[in-house]
Amino acid sequence: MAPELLLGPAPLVRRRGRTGSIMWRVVLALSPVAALAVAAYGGPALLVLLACVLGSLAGEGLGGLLWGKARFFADGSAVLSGLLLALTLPPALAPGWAFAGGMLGTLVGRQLMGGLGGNLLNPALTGRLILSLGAPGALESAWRQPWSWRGTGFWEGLAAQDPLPLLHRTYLVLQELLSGALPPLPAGWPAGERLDLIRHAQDLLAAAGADHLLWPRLPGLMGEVSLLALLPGLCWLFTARLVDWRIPASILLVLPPALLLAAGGPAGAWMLPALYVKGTGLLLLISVFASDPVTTPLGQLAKFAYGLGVALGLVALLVWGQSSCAFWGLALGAGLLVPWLDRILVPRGLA
Amino acid sequence: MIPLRKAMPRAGVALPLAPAWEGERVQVRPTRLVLPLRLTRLEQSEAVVRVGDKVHAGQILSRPLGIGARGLRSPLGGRVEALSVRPVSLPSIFAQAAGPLPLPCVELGGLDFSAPREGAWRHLEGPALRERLSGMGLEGEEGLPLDLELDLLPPGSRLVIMALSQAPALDAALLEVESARLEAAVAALCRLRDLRDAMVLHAPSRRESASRLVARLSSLLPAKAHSVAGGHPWSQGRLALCAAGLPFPSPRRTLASQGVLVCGLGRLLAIEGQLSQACPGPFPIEVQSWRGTRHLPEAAGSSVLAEVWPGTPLRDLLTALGRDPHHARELVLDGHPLTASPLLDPDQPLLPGHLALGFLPDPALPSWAEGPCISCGQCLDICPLRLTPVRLARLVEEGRVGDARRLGLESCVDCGLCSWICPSRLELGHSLRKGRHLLREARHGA
Ligand code: SF4
Ligand code: SF4
Repeated sequence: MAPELLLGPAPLVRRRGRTGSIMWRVVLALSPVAALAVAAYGGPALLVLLACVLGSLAGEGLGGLLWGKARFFADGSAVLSGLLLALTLPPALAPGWAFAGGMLGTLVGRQLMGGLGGNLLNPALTGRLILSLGAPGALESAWRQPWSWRGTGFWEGLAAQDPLPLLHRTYLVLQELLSGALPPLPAGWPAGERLDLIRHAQDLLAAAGADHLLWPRLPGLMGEVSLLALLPGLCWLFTARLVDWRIPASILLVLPPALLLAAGGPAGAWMLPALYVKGTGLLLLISVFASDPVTTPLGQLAKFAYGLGVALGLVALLVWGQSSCAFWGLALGAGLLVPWLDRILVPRGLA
Repeated sequence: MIPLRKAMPRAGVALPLAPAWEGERVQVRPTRLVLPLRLTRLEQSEAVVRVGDKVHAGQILSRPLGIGARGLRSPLGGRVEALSVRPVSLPSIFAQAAGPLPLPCVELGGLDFSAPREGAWRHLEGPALRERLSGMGLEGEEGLPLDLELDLLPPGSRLVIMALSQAPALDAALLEVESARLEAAVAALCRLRDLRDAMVLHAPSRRESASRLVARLSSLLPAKAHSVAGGHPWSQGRLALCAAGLPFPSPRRTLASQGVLVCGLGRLLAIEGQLSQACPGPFPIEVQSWRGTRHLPEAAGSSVLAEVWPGTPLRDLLTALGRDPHHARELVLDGHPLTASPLLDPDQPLLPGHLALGFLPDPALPSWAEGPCISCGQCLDICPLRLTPVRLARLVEEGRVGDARRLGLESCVDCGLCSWICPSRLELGHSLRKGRHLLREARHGA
């Protein structure tokens, strides 16, 4: 009887952790945010979440049927894409749209380009862009006021303290910057005159309060319900080297001073926190999407160059841009430059 | 980038063979030896024994072919059972990259583990000697390879040590300083050749040290050693040969076949060095077992140091370790787990250079299902040479070895860390090995 010895080239030992486990760990890292979003926005948010994940899985399966590509359901990439898409969406989107976004994003962004590893586009961002272009109305009507333990009268409470006019004016300025990306103004709010951007941002922050970092006080994306719920997961991903820190780090290094310059002095400095408070998806874009390994460069130098490019693109968009589509499109477009960056900035080794 | 010395402990890899071994030892008594006639890919030799020949420990089995090659000596006494060609994984890392090579081997059975001195040394004379020498292409040659010269010595030979060469100062120094090694050389010769006596020719001024050597040699030899003091080296040599009843000058092989080995002191030291290498004894192999899967977090239990004769088939080691070679659902690794080749053939001979073997026993070993590269960049981060393993591997697989060379393919040190860390289980290291192999081939072809 032939001995049962097994064949394979060296090394014959491998580190624990395969592609699937990386995906699932990213899912795990993001799940506190998703759970908080469901808690804050209730049933509709849960439906959006499920619809996105199911849509993404359906896209993966359909892609396999259409192009005969192997389907890697178990590797968690489809679930992760669905989850990421859901985090970029307003909480009360019709589940049908969410499903369509998940499916089309995976089909176009990943399966059409050769499946996991071959794609230049992030499937979740692709799905988001498709929805922004195809269903702007559905998106705009999907913003919800988060539940608060202070009662639903939070807005009324604010009104009683009279920060509302300020909030509103800030809102208008930001809305101009990112038209369409923001929740609509509650009915009956008076339109105010434009104020200085700094004042608006300051006012906005004051209105939201510091606990906005923990629990959403204003309508926003599902993925930005709580900075504190997002940060531990992100830190874990970075320290466990599951995602690379270089791109987010270079964006965060470049973005504030560039905004400062471009937005004319200190105004820029207030934009970042203001944009977070408004739940625009900036934080997700910087931390999660910009560190998606598949659609970002390989080499260290290329990673820094990519981060620099994304940061400058964001500045241009924040200061002069007019459309939220461009916001998501930017990250997608940057992915198309990755092969070129990898080619020109390839590491040549020490020898 | 993770420095290599940090990455190794992360890989859970123990460095093989601590200098002082305190753990368990196992002595492996092989049933047969399979001795490949090539010790490296380049070094070749040719068998000088035939099937059915009885050989003794230390006997020449093959003669070297080409410059720098080495002949092979038998580690143990036994009988030549076969001259075969079989796939052998040589221990050198370059040979490993090529996988098992079909190599001519001498297979010995009926092994004799008793003292190597037992049994008479082969002695050829007359037509048998001529036939053997012509078979080896050495007929008519004045000089003989030292190996063969020693091989030709009949039992009861006489050793003539010329301590008065044309470099008397050197001889004097050797006599004074190296007397212990000279003694060891003569002892090794006695063990292998049944020397009868020795004669030391020396300069009159070295009488004292020569006498000391002679006294020590006398205790090693059956007959008493002599010393002869004299004038010029040439006349000393003539004198010595006349005393031995031999014509002078006389070709070496004639002297050897007549039972006289003539050596200067330097040559005697060289013989000592050669004999200690040429009659290889058991060598140590560290055997580790690993628990769990191929992720190899830790070695399970303590390692065992196996003492193995060169040429011992792997199955004999497995049996000695209490493993069933026919049902070993485990991977037998040769060397460092990050770069090792699996030894797949239970008849694979173990050779010096196979330093550490490991077993990964797990019926549920996961397959290396390759996933797509997810561009995680971990292979770049861990590469100690800061190469781009994934890019290089891709270029090699696309056949663009020249481009890969420009990106540093040849500086890859084959540490295997890129494959180890890749979450998609890509065989990066293997592709790079293949690429370097192609480059070498291209260079040799050019
Ligand atoms: S095997 Fe070569 S390419 Fe891979 S990590 Fe080691 S040196 Fe780098
Ligand atoms: S470690 Fe594997 S998956 Fe990651 S970049 Fe290298 S080859 Fe690709």
